[in-house]
Amino acid sequence: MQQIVCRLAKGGPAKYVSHLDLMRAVERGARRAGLPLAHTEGFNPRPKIASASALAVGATSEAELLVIELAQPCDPLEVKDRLNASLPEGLRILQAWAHPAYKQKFAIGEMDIAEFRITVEGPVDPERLGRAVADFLEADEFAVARVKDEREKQVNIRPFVLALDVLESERRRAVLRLRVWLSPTGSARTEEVLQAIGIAPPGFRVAVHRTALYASGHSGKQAKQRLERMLPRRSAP
Amino acid sequence: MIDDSLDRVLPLVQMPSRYTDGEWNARHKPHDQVALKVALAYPDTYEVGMSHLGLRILYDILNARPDALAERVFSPWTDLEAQMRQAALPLWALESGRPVREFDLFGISLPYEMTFTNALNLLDLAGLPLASAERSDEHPLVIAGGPGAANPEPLAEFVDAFVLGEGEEVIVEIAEAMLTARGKGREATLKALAAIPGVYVPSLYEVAYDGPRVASVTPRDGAPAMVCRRVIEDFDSAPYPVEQVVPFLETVHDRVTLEIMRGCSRGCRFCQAGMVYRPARERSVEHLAQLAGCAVRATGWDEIALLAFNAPDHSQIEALIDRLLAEHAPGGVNISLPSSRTDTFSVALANRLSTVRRGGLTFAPEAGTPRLRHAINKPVNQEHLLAAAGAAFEAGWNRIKLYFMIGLPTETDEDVDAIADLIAQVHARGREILGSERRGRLRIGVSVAAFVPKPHTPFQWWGQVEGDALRARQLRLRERTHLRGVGMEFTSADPAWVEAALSRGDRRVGTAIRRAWELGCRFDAWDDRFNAARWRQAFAECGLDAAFYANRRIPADEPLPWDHLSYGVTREFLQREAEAALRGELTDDCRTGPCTVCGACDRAGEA
Repeated sequence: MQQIVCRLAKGGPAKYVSHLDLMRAVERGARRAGLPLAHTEGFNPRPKIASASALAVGATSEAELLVIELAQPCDPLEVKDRLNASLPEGLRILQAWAHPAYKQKFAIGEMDIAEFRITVEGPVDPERLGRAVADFLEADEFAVARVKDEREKQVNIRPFVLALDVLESERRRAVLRLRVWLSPTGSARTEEVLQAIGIAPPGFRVAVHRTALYASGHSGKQAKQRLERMLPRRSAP
Repeated sequence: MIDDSLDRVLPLVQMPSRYTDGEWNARHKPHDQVALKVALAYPDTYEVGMSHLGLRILYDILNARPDALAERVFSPWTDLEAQMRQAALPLWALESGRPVREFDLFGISLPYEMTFTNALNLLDLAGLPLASAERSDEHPLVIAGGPGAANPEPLAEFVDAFVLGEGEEVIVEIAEAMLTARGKGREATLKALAAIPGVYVPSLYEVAYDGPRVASVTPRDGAPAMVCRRVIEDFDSAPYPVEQVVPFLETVHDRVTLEIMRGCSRGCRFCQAGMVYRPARERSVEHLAQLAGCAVRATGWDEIALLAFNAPDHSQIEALIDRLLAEHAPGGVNISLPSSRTDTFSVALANRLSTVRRGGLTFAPEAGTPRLRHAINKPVNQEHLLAAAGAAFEAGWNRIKLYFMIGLPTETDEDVDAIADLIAQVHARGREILGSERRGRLRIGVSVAAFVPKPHTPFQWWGQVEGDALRARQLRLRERTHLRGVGMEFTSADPAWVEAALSRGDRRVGTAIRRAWELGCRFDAWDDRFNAARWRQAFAECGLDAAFYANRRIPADEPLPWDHLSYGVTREFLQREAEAALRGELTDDCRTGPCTVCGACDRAGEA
């Protein structure tokens, strides 16, 4: 058994592919590539391919992480080349490495920080944008409405935003960098953060690109404590 | 291909990957290096259309030619349609992203009547005038085919030419005729097409009416008096696509489709497919094994579905399954029989297939009494059915499906009540075999369709049972079936009524289809989209009596709107079968019994 970790780019027509469909496309690509996939046990064996956090439909990425388990060891570079020859347009393995067998299994579920580059086109006012970003970061709380099971719920997204910078801004265009925490109890969606700083369709056209995905290194318990520290001091005088 | 205008619209619609192209095995050919450009459309969503074998076959054949290209077009869902109309975005073909109107040929597959408004909508979204007569040399030729063209008359006003029958050979002849007629104009091209066997150019035929009835159909300009459908003689070596496009989305049939057999000779009298795709033909085990291997390697799918009207009818089915299991089961590839007439033999087959994964089992006795099953020529023996269902329960299935049809010719209340009895017997058998432990998991899904009289079948002369009477029979059956674990599903009477009116319609029905489309009818095949009130309004506004088409018993000597179109089976054969139905007489399957002289093949009367 060998774990191959892949960093996958998603773009072109494939940016509209949902996460579930992406996983199926990778699985079929791996079959076409003739990789010796390891399968789950049981009545309905499935190839063991896991992924980190799902990317929103419509976003592009250079940082999707996949772990493919192989029944026999293979050269990761060969796995990368064979997969790239078998994946549909817009999906490309940028890097592949073998996770050392002597270590614990690659914990793809612990990838809990995502970084995005967001390009905005529309009536951008650089000064106002700078202020909106500063105000957002200043605040402890920013509530957005989410609909779940036909019921509206208020969610504070501020604690999940680790960083938000304006990299470029001019009259019709701005580029932002956003780092969010994919915490065990929730996260902030890019469109919610943008809405918080006054950027929303249809006036603005937004291109979201995931640039990195990594692990904070906090365990579940630590993460929870950290979240509690970050939550607004609502009861404070 | 996604261009900028599409990129603006796609974030606003559901399931955008329906519209993006970029799937594995999609073919991209340069438009400036190819003489004949074909847009192949399926008038339903991507998920339904991508499951359609006919489209895959034509796509493959055309793209294999150096002088032609084919691209795919599906009906945009209503959310995208609204965006397209607002942004004045014309219908495009997926691969190149180019507008459909820039193509030479716009081919539309017609799976059945309930897609007709979607077909009109495709023409309109492409920016083409709906009426064939209003289109000019600048527009692509619009050619339609498929089972929905068995009686193409209701669409005669909108479609330039119809293909009757199987497309593998005729598509090549059409492509060549269009290349030869290049630059000679629409009229000349259509006349050239009309000379190809199996191609029906409706504008070359004059229809005379006698009141509401069709009196005669007269060809002009040398068009043939009778257009005969095409049939592939050498089915085993007919082209078959192995590099099938692999969708990102989960489609209806998301797997390798392997057509092992075409046609059926059992002769159920209500079944149009069983009449118009005669004779029954098979592919050889050797060839199928080779196709399956190539297709699995080329697609990465983990399931091979053996497609046939009734897969167990293949004379070598066991050898085929053994061979495919030996070659593919070790790689985790599942083999399935999506459509089979379930009997004890096929339960045994299904049981062997379930070594990899277990699908559902469907039994389709259609009718409740032996008398009616004889009348429809589907003599499913009650004891055999119970034995087969019992075998399924014994082999570990807890869940089976039963298919029935209500409103069949000669049906009485007694026949309806017998359906309830039959369900109860299967249910009792299930409980007995499953025992106290598994009894709670017993599920019997009962689907009850409404009979729709279809052209080119022995039942084409019978009217559909009128709406209220049909609903009363459905209610009668529902009231008699209250069993734990039995779920019942009925086809609504209203869509069945529209389907019947369209299926037996003449050219005048086209005006009602157009009106229904104008009133907003789309996706009529989708229960939640179908709107009966709009269809009633459309027929009424066009001064047409839908009941005349849907519910009337047509006298045997009356000319039919489709009499000038032959699907092989002769009118005499259909008439003989209609009389046999009234007498409750069975007609043999010609693969096992004597020739029935149906007219569909050359060996009529032999042996």
